[in-house]
Parts: sequence; structure tokens; C-alpha cells
Amino acid sequence: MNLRLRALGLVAALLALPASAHEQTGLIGGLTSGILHPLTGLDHLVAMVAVGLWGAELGVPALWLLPIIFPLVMAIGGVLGVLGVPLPVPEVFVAVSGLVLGLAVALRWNPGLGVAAGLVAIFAVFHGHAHGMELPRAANPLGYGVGFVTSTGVLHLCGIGIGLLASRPGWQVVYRGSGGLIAVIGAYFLMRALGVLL
Amino acid sequence: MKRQAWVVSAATVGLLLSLNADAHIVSVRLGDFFMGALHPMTDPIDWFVWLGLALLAARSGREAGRWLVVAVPLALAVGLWVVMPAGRLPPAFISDALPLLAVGLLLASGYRLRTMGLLAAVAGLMVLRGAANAAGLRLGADVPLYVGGLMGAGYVAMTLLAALTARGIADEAAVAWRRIGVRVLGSWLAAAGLMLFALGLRG
Repeated sequence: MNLRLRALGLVAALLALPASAHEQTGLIGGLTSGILHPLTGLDHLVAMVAVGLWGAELGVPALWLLPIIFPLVMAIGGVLGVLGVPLPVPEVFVAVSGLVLGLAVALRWNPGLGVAAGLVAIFAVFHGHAHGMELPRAANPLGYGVGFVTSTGVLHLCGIGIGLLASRPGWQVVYRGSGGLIAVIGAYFLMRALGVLL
Repeated sequence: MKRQAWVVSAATVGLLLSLNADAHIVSVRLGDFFMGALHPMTDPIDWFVWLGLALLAARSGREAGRWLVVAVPLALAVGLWVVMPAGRLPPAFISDALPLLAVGLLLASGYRLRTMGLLAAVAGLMVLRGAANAAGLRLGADVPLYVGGLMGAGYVAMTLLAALTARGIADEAAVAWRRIGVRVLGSWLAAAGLMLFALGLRG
């Protein structure tokens, strides 16, 4: 029995082919890297969630307008990134977006739809620029574009979900606490971008 | 007993007269038809644009949407026939990015197209996609069969997609959130199309 097992093991070892568990090529490769890009960058992630949280606080129509407007404006920033048009201190603006949006959530700031949409649009351009810089290097540009837009949208939805849940009586501390945490993370990235922290 | 003998005899005759089975019809003469039918399924741009168009049709109402079943296959065929004499495919940022961007913006705007507007959108988008699908034509292929396959795929896909999406988003009040979902999806498609367009311009 033991001998049989060894023989079987030997045959299996001889017949083994290289494992390709993480095949990052083609459409799937592009899609995977696109989906992961906003998720692996904490500065992007918190800002996206904050947009959803703020939308939930501002209510209808901001609640559903922001997830429509944000990807489009972000794509304009992406176009600038793809074309290599430089933006001033993009890392600083991405970090500032987390700080400002986090504070807006924590303080339950309601400046009206126009101001909120304008502010979010400015930040969207810088986030899109960062994604756009990665696009030409992606395994599959279409997959990457669809992936990062979808991932961004899902993060908005997460924020909206948390915001709607926290709108119940007694849950305000969760909502405002989330905003405070996002502001702290934004402040950390801002200090890093400014060279205050290593 | 007599009946059994008949069955055995019939089976024997059947076996003696049997011919080779050709299960894979793609390897015989009709192969180019299936090549044309399957080619759109190999390109995600076609998935997104066709789905987007079906959603647009569903939002425009049944009267306008019905025209798509005829217009889409015809526009695909026209696009392919137009591009063939030139022997060159249109640049990707025109045949891929523009339809994605256009269908995405139309969906995101929430605008309800009338019949003529919908047909104009079909003409623009599907002629470009038909031209892009000429990429699947190999040298020496039977062009009418390939076009027939492409048109058949367009007919079947558009009939099914439009019917399904019309059922999903047609009712005004009960499914308001689905309409918002369609607009969100449109903005995502437009964003991806815009980025692809920029990438094409960059070269």
C-alpha cells in the first residue's frame, strides 16, 4: 500500500505542470487590477466611501445623483491621466478629499446639492487622474476601466448603505464616527504627501 | 417473436446504412455562419453595447423597442459590408470607445428616445460594431454566411435582451430604483468608454 502511494506520488510529481493560480493577463487580468486599484489604496477607498456616506446624509436626489455624476467626472480626470496632462500635487488633493469629506460627514455639513456636487466633482478629477495614470500599463485597458469604475461605484454603495443604516435613531454615532475616522485617515495621508510624515 | 425479428432486421439495416456522424458542424460548410454568430460573444464591448441598447429600447417603450429586432441585424450587416471593400478595420477608439461612450451617456441622461431617435442611435452604434466584427472574417471565408451568422446573433440577442429588460424596467412607479440603477450603469459604461477613447487618442 505504502509502495503504491509512493509510486502514485512519483508519477504525479513527474506529470506536474507549472501552477498558474494568479493569471493576470487579458480581460480578467485588467478587470482584476482595475477592481483592486481603488480597494488597495486606502486614500482612495475612504474618499469613495465618504462620498456615499455624505450622499446618504444629503438625501434624495444627491443620494442617487452622486453615483451617476462621480464616475463621469472621474473619467474626465482619467482622460487627463491617460493623456499625461499633469495636475498640481495630485497626492495632496486625494488626501485632502478624504479629510474634507470625512469632516463633512462627521460634522453633518449640508451646504446644498450644488456646492456638495461641485466639491465632490473637483475631488473626482484627482482620483480619476490617479487611476488614468495606471490605465496604459494595464493588462487590458477595457477590463481595467470597467473594473475601477465598478469598484468605485460599489464603494459608494457601501457608503450609502452605512449612511442609511446609521440614519436610524441612536445610530448617529456610527455615522459621525465613520466620518471622523475617514478624516483622520485623510489627515494622515495629507501629512505624508506634504512630507511631514515618512 | 416475429416482431422481435423485425426490430433486429431494421436495426441491422440501420447500422449498415449508417454514415459518419459530423457532430461539430463548425468544421463543415456552415462553419462561417457560426463564426459570425459567435464572434460578438468574444468581445466584451459587444456585450456592453448590446445590453445598453436593449436597455435604451426598453426605456423607450414597446412601440419603439420593436424596431430594434429588425434594425440591429441590418445595421450590423451594413457596418460589415461597408468596411469590407476598404480592407481595414476602423480604429479601436472609434469602433469600441465611441459606442460605449454614446450608449452610456444616453442611459445616464435618463432621456427617453422616440422611435426615430432610437433608430438613429442603432444606426450609429451598430454600424460601428458591425464594422468591428469584420475582424473575425478569415481569408477565404464565406462572407454571406458570416454576415448571416452575425445578423442572426444580433436578432436573437436583441429580442431576448430587449424583452427581458423591458419586463424589468417598464413599470413606472413600482421600479423607480431600477431606473436609477440603469442610469448608474450608463454612467459607468460612459466612464469606461471615455477612458478608452482617451487611450485610443494617445495611441
